[in-house]
Amino acid sequence: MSDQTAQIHALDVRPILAAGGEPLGDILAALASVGSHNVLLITAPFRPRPLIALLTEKGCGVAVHALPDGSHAVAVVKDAPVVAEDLTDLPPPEPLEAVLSADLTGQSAAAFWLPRYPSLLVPLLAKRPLSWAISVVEDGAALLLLRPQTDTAAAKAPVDAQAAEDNSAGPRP
Amino acid sequence: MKLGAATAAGLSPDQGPPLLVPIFLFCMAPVSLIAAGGVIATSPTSQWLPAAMTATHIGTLGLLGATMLGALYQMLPVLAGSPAPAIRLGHGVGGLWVVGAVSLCAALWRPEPLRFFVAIAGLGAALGLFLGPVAIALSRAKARAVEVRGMTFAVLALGIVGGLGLTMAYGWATSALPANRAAWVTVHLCVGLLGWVGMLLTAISTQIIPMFYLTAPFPPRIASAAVWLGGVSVLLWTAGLAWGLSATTLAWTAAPFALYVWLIHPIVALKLLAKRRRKRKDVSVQFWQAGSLVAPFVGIAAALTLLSDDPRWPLLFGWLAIFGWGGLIVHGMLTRILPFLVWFHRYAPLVGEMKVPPMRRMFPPSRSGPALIAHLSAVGLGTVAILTGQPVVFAGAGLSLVISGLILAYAMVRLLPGLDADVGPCH
Repeated sequence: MSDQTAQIHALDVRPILAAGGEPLGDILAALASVGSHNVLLITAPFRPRPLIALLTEKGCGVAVHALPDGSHAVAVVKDAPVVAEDLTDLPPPEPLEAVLSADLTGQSAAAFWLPRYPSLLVPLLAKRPLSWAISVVEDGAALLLLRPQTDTAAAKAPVDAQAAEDNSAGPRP
Repeated sequence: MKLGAATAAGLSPDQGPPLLVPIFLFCMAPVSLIAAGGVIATSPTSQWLPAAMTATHIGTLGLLGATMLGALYQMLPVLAGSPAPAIRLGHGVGGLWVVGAVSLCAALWRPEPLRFFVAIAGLGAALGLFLGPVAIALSRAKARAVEVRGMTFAVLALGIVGGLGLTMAYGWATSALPANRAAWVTVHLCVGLLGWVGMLLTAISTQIIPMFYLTAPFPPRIASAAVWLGGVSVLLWTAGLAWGLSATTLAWTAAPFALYVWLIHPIVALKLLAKRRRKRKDVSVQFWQAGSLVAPFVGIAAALTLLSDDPRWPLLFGWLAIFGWGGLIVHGMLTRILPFLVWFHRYAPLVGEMKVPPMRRMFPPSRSGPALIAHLSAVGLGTVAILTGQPVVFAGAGLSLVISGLILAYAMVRLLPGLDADVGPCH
């Protein structure tokens, strides 16, 4: 797999906290295993402000999506201070339009929170020199990670090696 | 922790039907509004029965039916993840549906056996070509969500209501109507308005309303229970007809699902729409709200039809159900889905590569707003006309419906590729 392939790794720390544990070690270990410009998607039972500050200091981009039960999905883009654009309050087709219009020139990654799994967007992404990963969270919103591809071969089939794997952390509509 | 790249699953534009298939069926909506309005505006009082029958079937076959067939073709791949096979048959469905619907309406207006036989052939063939592939698609659907079950029951109801209708048309043509005609008409009406139109609109709305209007999700337990209630009701009415139950008994068995379709669902929909996250002015929302507000009056008119012999109530019930509740919602969805489809097919692949027009400009409020006002005026005037029997008010209602259809037709013509210079890509 090309190191330009976008990946989202999911880590739910709610069971750790519910058991009285301290998840920081698990988070840092998970982050260490994440490739540069990829995403660690942490699900926490509250908005983890100290963690967000710590990860931002480490040069990561962090974007938080609040879930209906009070939990928070925290997208951490490693080694890339990009902040996920929140498109969850846009009706279709505006999120699709915003993603495809995004200027990725000079960027190593871009992330977007979308209102749902972007069924209509995926085939359009496949026609562009991009690698992408999508993860659906519990309220149906989806995190989209885009990475520009410079390798033509990889760009044509950015997800072939992993196509059978569903990267969703929740139900996909 | 799971590691992986994105799933490759997604909806390719190739998976959807060719744009012309749903568009052709959708084009019957404005034509039907104009035709129904013309019939209502010009019919003398002495002709009210054939005029009412004709306008009813223009509304059910042209405005509601054709639009819903087109919508089903479009929604199957999106909501069920399973496109209809042999989708090019959809062109034949559209053509045969037009021939059948026009012939049936002509036959109801001026009965002639040949017209009925052409209607039976056209609508029968259209139903066959539609139901076969759609049933296959639904049987292949991986998703078993509420909306997919709702679509399945609605398609079943379409088959039943079509079968009942074609049998009665044959009875008209050969002067051999079923002996228990009132029961047949009751079941035809219940399966058609509640099982087909009600089931599809309510089930699909559980996805459409949150998706297009950014509302909270539709309460899943209510939606799921309602779909099962509707499915069982359709089977019960059909079995009841076969068992020889009376029209009145059959009508009362419709009460639970009617209560959901014309009271509970509209209340939930109105509450969700009132609390939508983004309150940008959207005329299609106002169509939804208007249709939902009319719905309880449909239920009241239905109850009065059962409880009273006054001939105005069944007329009012049909008017409010077809051109009020169902017609307003379908009209509103056309103002939202049409520009979305055209924009997606024409411009989505070009976004980011050239400047493309925003979807909102393709069906602006300056067109949909007046269409809503004209449609609402028609519903209001028609109600007054039925209650007072004043020919001049009937004429006003019909004229309003014609105006509403003309505005919708104009907006649709402006949307079609190549005809609207204002919305071409900006090179």
